[in-house]
Amino acid sequence: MSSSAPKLTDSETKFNPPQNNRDSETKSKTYWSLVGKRIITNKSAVSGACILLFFVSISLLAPWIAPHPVDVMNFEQRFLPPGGQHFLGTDDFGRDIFSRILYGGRVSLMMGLVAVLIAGVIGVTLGVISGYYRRFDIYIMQVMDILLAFPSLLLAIAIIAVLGVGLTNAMIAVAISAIPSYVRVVRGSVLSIREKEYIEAVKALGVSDFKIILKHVFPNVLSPIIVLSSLQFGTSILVAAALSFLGLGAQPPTPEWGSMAYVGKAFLGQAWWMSLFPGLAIMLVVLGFNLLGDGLRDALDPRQK
Amino acid sequence: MSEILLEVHNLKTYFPINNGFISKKKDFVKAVDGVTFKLFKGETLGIVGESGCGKSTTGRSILKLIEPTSGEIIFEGRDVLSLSKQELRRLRKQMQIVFQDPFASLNPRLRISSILEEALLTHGIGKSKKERRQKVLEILQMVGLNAFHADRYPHEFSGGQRQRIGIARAIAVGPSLIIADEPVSALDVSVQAQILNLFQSLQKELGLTYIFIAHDLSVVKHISDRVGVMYLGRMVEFADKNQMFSEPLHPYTKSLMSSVPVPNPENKKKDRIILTGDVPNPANPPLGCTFHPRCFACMEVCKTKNPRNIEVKPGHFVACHLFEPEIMGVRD
Repeated sequence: MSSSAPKLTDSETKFNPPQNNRDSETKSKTYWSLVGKRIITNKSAVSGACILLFFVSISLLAPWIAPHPVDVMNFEQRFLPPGGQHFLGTDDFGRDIFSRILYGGRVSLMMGLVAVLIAGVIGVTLGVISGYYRRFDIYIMQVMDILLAFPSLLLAIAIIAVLGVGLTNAMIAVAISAIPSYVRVVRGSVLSIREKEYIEAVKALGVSDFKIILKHVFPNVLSPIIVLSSLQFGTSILVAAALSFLGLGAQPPTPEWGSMAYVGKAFLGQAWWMSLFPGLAIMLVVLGFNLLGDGLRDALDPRQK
Repeated sequence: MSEILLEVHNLKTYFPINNGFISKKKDFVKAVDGVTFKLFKGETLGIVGESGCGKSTTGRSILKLIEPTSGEIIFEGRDVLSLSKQELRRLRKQMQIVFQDPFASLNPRLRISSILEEALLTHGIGKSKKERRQKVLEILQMVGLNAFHADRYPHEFSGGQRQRIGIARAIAVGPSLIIADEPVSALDVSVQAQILNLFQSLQKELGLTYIFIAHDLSVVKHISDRVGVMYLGRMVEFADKNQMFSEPLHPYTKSLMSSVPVPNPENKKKDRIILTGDVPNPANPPLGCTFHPRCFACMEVCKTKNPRNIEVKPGHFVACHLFEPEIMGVRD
């Protein structure tokens, strides 16, 4: 055995950082600026974002770009095919479909946004509690597993059966059906983060649990939450539209893509454009969110660093 | 050096093994099973042992990062295990830990300055932001880093530099005890020497007391004043460094010491002890002395009776039946 560890002189052992390092002047990059770069170069994320930007802006600008009022009936212009004065045709009451799609976007996107916000806040809170304080874990997860056992549409229908038909209740139903996936994803991430040594180090410092969660756990589970929210946004819009299509969500005469497709179903033989264009809008928006979500997942995945 | 800083008495940390949802039967992994020692102010206690012998669990139990099952931990006259949450938080200022993996022990999302400032903020050191910043730069200087490192993120540092930051975080709150959990085993040999020397110079400067956990015997020999050898959750031998390395008594320590390679090929050791078998499963340790299935001096009594801690010489403890007075008498 060696008599002792290698003895080094003081000048050798004192770590001397280079004094005039040009790196020292450049500002170090934050995590999010690196991620931003990866998102911009990701084709899927960018194309998804473009589709969404298009739909969000036409919905917001609907009052200015809609060529016709949405709820004025005109029986002389019923079932007009696309083209001419009515870009995408008219419906059974002679209302302009293009204008209704613009306004319907507001309802559909709002439903998605509200559902994701409600589900996100509740789901992330429950997920963090479940993952960080293990003694609540089994109770929370048992309930979530029961909820997860139902397809989200079926669950939403069941909730509406309790709450009653309507736009607000549809949003709540969609939100509740989206909570379990948030809880699962967040819990899993928190479980892996809480075992990291840097969490142990701040515990050893005596930092309170609340601060640890806020400052150390939450920022590190943010990426999966962002990805999930993007994908969940698409799903929520789809489920909300499906609810309206079944007559459980938005009620006529509210312009909503799902309910427009539902009304058009009765006239599918004569006026295919009544169902096709709202359906296309739903498809494109959901596609946009899925592309964005996939892109974000690739950009935020730590394994690709 | 005679003042006692920390006293650990019969510390036990058991981890329950889950036998499924319904089963009520409970088994335990006895990670730490009755460890007792005293730590003097200003000294360095090295704890060695192979993987899974409970070295790290001992360290973490002392800090109450893992809840010990039973035992007593007396730090500066106060029982750590009976403290309230508030009191424990205040006590954390006195005891800190340095981790093994410098890549996992720093939050990747925080700048070095925020990591260190958090330590200061938690214990109310430095009243204004400016004052805390000044303190952060001071601490960085102490561990051999520069002021411009303060605004960097952990991924911009090498392993050795990160370990310096880990040490900086530990000394930031002005502790008297630092538990170093294999702080150099993840580093290159040349960097190991730098970090070890940093530990030693900080000890001189700040009057720190260390519990230095390692599996590298030459590292332990270099840095420790006293050494404890652990095997399967128990402290089998505890002695002054020089005594431990010149005349190890416990058969396990003997075999550990003989396993260290000798750099000079001419002083070839003849009596290398090669142990057979593996470390037993800590969930189901052998009866009696846990080392007896692998011991070259195993007796009948070892298979049934757990050896007690015998003080062979002043300050030299060994847990082995070979050193019971009546057995020693028969041997001689």
